[in-house]
Amino acid sequence: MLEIKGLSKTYGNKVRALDNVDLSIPKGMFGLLGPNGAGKSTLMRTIATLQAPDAGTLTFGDIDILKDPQALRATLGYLPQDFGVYPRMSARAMLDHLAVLKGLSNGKERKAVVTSLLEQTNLAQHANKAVASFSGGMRQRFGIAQALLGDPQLIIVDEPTAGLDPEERNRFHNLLSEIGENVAVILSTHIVEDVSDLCPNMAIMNGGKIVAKGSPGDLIAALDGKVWARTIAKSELAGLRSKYNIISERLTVGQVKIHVIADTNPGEGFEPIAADLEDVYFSTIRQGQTASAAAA
Amino acid sequence: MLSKIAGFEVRYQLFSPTFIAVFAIFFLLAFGGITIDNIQIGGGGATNINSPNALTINLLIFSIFGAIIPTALLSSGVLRDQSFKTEEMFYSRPIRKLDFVLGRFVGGYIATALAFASVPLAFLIGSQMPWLDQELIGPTNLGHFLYLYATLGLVNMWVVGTILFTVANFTRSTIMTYATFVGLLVLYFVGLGLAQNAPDLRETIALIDPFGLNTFSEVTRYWTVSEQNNQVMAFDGLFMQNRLLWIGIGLALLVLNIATFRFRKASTGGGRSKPATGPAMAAPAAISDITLPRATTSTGTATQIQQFFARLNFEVKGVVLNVAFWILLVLGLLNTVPGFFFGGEVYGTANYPVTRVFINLINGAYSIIPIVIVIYYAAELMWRERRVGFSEITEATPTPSWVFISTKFLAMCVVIISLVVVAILASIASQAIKGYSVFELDQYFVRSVFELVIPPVMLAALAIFFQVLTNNRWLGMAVMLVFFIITLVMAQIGFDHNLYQYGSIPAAPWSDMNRYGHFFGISVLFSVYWGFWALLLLVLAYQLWNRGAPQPILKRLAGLFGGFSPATASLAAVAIIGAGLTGGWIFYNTNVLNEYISGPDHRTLRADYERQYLYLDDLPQPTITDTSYDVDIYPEDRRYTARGSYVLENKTDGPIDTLWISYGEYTTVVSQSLEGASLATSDEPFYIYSFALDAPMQPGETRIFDFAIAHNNPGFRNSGNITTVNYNGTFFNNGESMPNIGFNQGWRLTDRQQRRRDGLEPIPRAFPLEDETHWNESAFGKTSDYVSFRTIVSTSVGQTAIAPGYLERDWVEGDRHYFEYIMDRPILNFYSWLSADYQLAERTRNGIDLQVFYHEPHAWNVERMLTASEDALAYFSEHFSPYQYRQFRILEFPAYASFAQSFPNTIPFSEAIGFIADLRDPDDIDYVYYVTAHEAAHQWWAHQVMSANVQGGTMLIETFAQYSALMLMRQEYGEDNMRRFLKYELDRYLSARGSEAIEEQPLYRVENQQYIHYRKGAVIMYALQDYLGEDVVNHVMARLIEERAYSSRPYATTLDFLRILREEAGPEHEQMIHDFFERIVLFDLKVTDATATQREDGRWDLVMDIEAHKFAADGEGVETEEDIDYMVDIGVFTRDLDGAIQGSDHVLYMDKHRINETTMRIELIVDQEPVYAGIDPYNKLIDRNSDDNLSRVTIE
Repeated sequence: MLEIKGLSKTYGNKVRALDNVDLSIPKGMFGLLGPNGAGKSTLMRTIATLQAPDAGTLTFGDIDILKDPQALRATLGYLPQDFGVYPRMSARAMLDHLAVLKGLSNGKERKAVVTSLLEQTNLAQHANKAVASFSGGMRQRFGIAQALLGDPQLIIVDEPTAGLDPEERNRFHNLLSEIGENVAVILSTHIVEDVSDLCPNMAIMNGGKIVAKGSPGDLIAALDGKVWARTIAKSELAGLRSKYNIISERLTVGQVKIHVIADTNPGEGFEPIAADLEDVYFSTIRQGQTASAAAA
Repeated sequence: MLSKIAGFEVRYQLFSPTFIAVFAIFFLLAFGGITIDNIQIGGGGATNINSPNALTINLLIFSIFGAIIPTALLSSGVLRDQSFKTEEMFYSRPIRKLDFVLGRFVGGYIATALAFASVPLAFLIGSQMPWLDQELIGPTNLGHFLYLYATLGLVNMWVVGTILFTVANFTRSTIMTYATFVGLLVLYFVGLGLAQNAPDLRETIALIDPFGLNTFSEVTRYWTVSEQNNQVMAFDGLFMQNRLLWIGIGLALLVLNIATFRFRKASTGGGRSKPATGPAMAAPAAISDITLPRATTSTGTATQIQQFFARLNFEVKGVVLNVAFWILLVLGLLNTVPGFFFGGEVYGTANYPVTRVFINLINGAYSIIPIVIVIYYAAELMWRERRVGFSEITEATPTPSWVFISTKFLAMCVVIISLVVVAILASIASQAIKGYSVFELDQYFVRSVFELVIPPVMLAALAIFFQVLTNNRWLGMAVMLVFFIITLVMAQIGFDHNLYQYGSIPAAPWSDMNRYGHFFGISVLFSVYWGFWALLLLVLAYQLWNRGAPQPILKRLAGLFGGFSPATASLAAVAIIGAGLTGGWIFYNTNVLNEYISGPDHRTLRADYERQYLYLDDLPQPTITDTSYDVDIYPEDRRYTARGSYVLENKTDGPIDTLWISYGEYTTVVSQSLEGASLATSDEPFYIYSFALDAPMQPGETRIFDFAIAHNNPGFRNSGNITTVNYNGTFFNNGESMPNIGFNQGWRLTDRQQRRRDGLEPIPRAFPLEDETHWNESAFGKTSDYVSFRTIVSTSVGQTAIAPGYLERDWVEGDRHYFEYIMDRPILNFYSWLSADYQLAERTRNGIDLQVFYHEPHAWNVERMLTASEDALAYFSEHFSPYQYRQFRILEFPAYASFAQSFPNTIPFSEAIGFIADLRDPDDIDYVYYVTAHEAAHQWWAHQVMSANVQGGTMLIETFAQYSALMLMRQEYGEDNMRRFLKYELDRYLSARGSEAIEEQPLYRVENQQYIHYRKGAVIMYALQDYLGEDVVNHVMARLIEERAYSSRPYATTLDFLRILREEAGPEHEQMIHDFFERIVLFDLKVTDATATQREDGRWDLVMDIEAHKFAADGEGVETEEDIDYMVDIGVFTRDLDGAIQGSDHVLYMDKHRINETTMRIELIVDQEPVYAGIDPYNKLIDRNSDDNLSRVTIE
């Protein structure tokens, strides 16, 4: 549905936020994974018509987004990474106002939609309270409610679960996956579980580039039998770092658990483990870093 | 820790763009203020450009505007962590709160102080610039700079800084901080207004003014030029108290801040609502079946209109529901309402609350606030979504951009209109409270639209445009400020055409007689013209506005032209074509129908005129002896034509072979001819012509000069659209367009600085008193003496036309009404024609017709005027000489000017004074009576005794008219009324000395200096008659008239008066006469102690210790003390004199004592318990501190 070709964006301070990005995003949930500063938000904002790229094309169905942003906006639901609210406005009033801005011109319909969305996002009982007084989770749910206004065909949610407690996150995931059945939903995040739980398709972004894409299963399969784990003392870490391709180091009870990538068992006490998406993510990111280090 | 935080703060601020921008802006403003002639602040007159006085004023004024410095550099320290969202990082660190608050504050204050140092620095550097008028540059005293910077700059920054810091700390809100800033400004202006109108409150206001401006005014109220050039306010008395008070308040606030400081997050919800915790998850993991609600969306026109109204409602609510809006409304009221009750008083007497005056008051109060509001709200509204972090949501909706921009603009309009509506409602309510019920809603509507709403609305469009263009809130505001400065400077240096002065609508004064008159059309035209520009700006703002992440200016500008849609292109086209058409029509009026000359060009022209023609002034020319005019006034076309004939006589000793004739500006000369002569030269740009006489005019010979002129006011001009001919209320005199002989003195540049710039020699303000060659010239000019006068004047039917003389006949021909006036005795060659739709009130006394021609709704004081006229003619006829005419007429004219002027038997009197005075309170000073008496006295002083064209001339005319009116007023209202009245006059005299342009003259050499011939003159003459007796002075007056009435060979001088005065007064008053008239003498009289004890017989012993000094001052105001030996009033009273208005029951004792020591003890016995005692308690002598003359008596 959403076709991205050759998208590039360089900021004034020479940061290449988007570097020749090609992506094809089908209907359903699409996870965009990447560390902070990878260019995810720039990509999201560019798709959401809030930022002009330097080069490239963006089409959604028949809509050429760069030429006719209004057409996309008419069918877009956007939950930005971070949003504030107006003081004093109630959730219902705010949603109703946004519904008008989205073009829900029929008053009865609009009222029904607003009420239904408030219910779906479990905000009905707080509908007349000021959004400014909402807790973080409620506010995010309000955010998704507004993104769903007007029957959007493309929904972009940028880092929606940051700062949510596990329960809230869970609830949020359910909401998203329900929506994702019929429309294209792009979920940008740096939390691997968000993607592994929800998305049939994904891409990993780093340094403005798409460094991996596919279904989580395929990406994990590619690492099958190549991930080895070992628990070591902290003092050994430095020596092993130079020796192996370590993709993750995790401190547990004074010891360090490391994952390395290798085609064959490196021995020295390494045990084979089943790869997961996190290994995929870390190995992809590491590759990018070593590659850029080598280039430099 | 503290010093580290403070140091961090200072470094952070010093290298911030804000600091650099603030420093640069204030430096440039102050530098421009001192180096650009036309915008000099604090100089003027003979005061040096770099005088300590000018430095003081600069520091004070800039510290008011400089309140923005602590707002930016100090309060921001508190708010910064919130705006950068780093508060948690800082607030969670283990910093002691004292260190944190104090550190932030000290750092911010140091940065503020350094930023404000730009002002004295710019003043210092600016005053060294070589192009300044070196005659007005005094020595530089660095001590003054440091002292004033410390006591004014640092203290004011401290005061404003602590207040704003406190507000920022407690509210964590930029807008509240900003509103506080506006509030401080309003407080200052209210104080200023009160101080002007209620002298009793001056000291209190001086004490509590946070900026010290009113303190400065009070302390230096009577400073002379010399004091202004050499002194600074000493750190004592009121000034010290004011400074210490505010330093203390600042300290207290700081302590309060520290004591109550909590590390906390600002709540965006206004602080009251706490987060709704609620059941976060009613059914935590319940997987519900989500059915996305279906709804049809549309992007059609109807939807857009719906979105427009939704957005408008949203934006307006956003503004109106914000406390800042209400604060602004309250501030607006605070700024206007006191004016309704205390403003516009004359001698402490209020006007009837006519709508014209009230709207003028609103106008005055709203001169700055709307600008501040426009700048603020443009930034606030344009950045509202981004500020709260909601912009990405709204901007990703399909709502078109025009909806966002236009509704923000309209929300600003709502703010502006609300402010105006509230002011008008307050005005109407105040009228009602004052018992006035003529609510002219039409006037309110039309004037508020043109004068109060449209100008800021135009600015709002511009401010939005700049906000969009710069895409930076602060930069957008700064660009607006720069725009105002450029506009101001452009006008000063000659780029003053209204076509490119954005948003300017030429001044359109209202007159009750003429209503908006021809200004209505001008205002409509300019409103439409600027409306088109505003539309274009909004279209451009729409085109340049990008949603989402801000794009660089250049990139957006580059894409500007490609980006027009058919709709916006046609809107832009409409705007451009509309502006072109209306602008073209304006240009046709200002530059084709009329000549457009910028202010500086006009001055150059006048300098050229003087260089070319001044030599004519010494040329012998004939004198006008007989005049007759046929004048046709066409009020609805605002024009008149005149045909006339003069008899010229050669009164010189030799033959004259050339006659020079000049006309006033904008006169169309239709024809002119001189008997036995032909036109030799014509210089139309200078309106001067010469005739070569076939045979020279011999001494004593007379010739006829015939002429026809037209005075047209086609269309309108760029400026100066106040015309003498109006739809209703025409008033012009013969100086405007009737021919005169020789060089036109009125065209000379008189300002000394202007003259120096144009390379012209300084001109003396008057010829020396002893210069007998000018004794045969009248103070009005030498081209004529007394002339005979007749005129036929016609006007439209429905109006009455009036000129000096007696109405011989009047008749109607078609739609013209003709009046013929003939004066039966020679008069000065100075007369006027008036025409309006008049009501007439009249009475006859002693064979004299007294008439008042007035505008029907202004009937309040007409009877009072008739009574004053009657009393005046009776008193002056009895004591001076008979009234020379059979008729005495007062004629109302529009409020385009506010004076009354005395022509022979004809006194035009502005609707702005007298006619609308509210005299219902008998305790108020009846200045209508006074002004009427003053003008009536001119029938003697000017029209009987005319002064020669030398120093002292205006004393014979104005001072004597003052004296005459005072005597009449005392007869009517008594001694205590005079005391209150003269206190105003004394105050105005002493206050005005510091503004003297050259040097102060003693009264008998007054060089048309109003503060001397009116103000000092009144005080001196009143004291004179107090010493000599009214009869003696009146006798002097009568003798002067006897000697000099209608005398033109020579005209009267003050020497004549002083000679007669000395003869009548006798030698024992020689010292006083010399001091009063021939020198500048000031007294300092005061009671240092007064105690009383009751005697056994029930009476009271009173002991007064007094101090008495006498000073002689030179023209600059430098005083030298001399021995005192004067008879001075000693008075004892049973009450304070402030409330004493009538009767003399409260006077226990009043007699003159000989005062010949600087400290003396006076012992008296009085019958009742004395409460107040004083030396010169009625302030008859000129005393710079007139309040310490009276003291409360201590009873022992």
